[in-house]
Amino acid sequence: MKIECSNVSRSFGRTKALDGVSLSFEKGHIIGLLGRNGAGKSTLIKSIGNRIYQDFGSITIEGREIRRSPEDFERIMIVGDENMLPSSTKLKNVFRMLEDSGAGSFDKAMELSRKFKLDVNKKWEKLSTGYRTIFKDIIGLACVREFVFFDEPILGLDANHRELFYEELLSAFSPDRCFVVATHLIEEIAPVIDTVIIIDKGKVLKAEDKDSLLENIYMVSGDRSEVEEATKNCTIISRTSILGQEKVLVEGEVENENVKKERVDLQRYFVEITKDGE
Amino acid sequence: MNYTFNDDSPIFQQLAKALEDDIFLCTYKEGSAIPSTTELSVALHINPATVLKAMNLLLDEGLIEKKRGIGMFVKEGAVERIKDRRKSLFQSKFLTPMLQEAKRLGMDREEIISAIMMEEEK
Repeated sequence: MKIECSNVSRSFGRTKALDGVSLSFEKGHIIGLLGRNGAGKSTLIKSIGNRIYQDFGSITIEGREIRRSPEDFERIMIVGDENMLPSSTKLKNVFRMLEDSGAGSFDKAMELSRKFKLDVNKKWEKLSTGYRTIFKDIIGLACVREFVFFDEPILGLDANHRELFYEELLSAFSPDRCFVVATHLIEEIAPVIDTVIIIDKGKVLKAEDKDSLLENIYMVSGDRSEVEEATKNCTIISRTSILGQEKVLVEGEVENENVKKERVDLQRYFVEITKDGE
Repeated sequence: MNYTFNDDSPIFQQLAKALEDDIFLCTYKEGSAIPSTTELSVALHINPATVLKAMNLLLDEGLIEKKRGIGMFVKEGAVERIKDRRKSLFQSKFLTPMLQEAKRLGMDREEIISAIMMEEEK
């Protein structure tokens, strides 16, 4: 069971927000959809959620075009788009609508609201930025659909609420569901996800298992000629020079004892491969 | 249980090591159950596939066993097995770097031995 995007493109004026994106979102995975601001994350999610039509390409679920099969669309929940929310309805009534439409559980939403200390008698328009994010997160966490897309779910949340979100996300997860978390805050989400998709300027740079992605990536530093010798059989990802020391991020085997070789985390890797000016 | 992780190696390896420590120190005793994949995932905020990879490492090393429908249990003899393996690594992990440093510092054999004896008497 998967959602498949093939060769999806979308332009706004002259800007290519999505440029030939081919990806799949499979059940049993928690996927990090990572990209800098304006990379195309939201446009991709909205295209899957059928709120923006792609100019080219297709988005299918089990081989059927999503936009032509409304019953399949009921298997997907997109959280993040604020225009979809009724702004002057009490939050608990929105949770009732969630239950009545069959998309989620009212009780679960109320339980989560207590944990996050969200006042359910308030209206959306009266919420602070942080609580707007929390409210959307609760909708996603209380929903029972198979595919749930969270667009920037930790934006504006304090450390305790972020921890609570990760915990609830993992406890709601099961092998017959797929959660996608779109964010540019990578450090904390890294342990929670198993699959990484990196998009930049509308293109997919990487889409693979998190551990295998970083398996052969090293930051090599030291004297310039030693570093060059050590990395001659590697693919160079980025190169910087600080205080006469050469620092290169490489993919491949590094064999030289005169250089320092360190593993990098997902955040560092992401920053290096999405740097400007290359 | 409070595990912290760094960037030096993949999280599943660090988790396997942490669980091994807990078995070695008898936090989880031989014959008793260890937490389930879901429990560890939720408690440590780690992806369940990552937890499963750690469990598989421990299974491969013969430290835990799966009892169908109930969960994972610490195998009898696990502590002894960990001890044997750690003994075999004692040289490369502790002695080699110690002697390397001693050599850089120009320490001779007697100095090294007296340093060890002083540490023992502490």
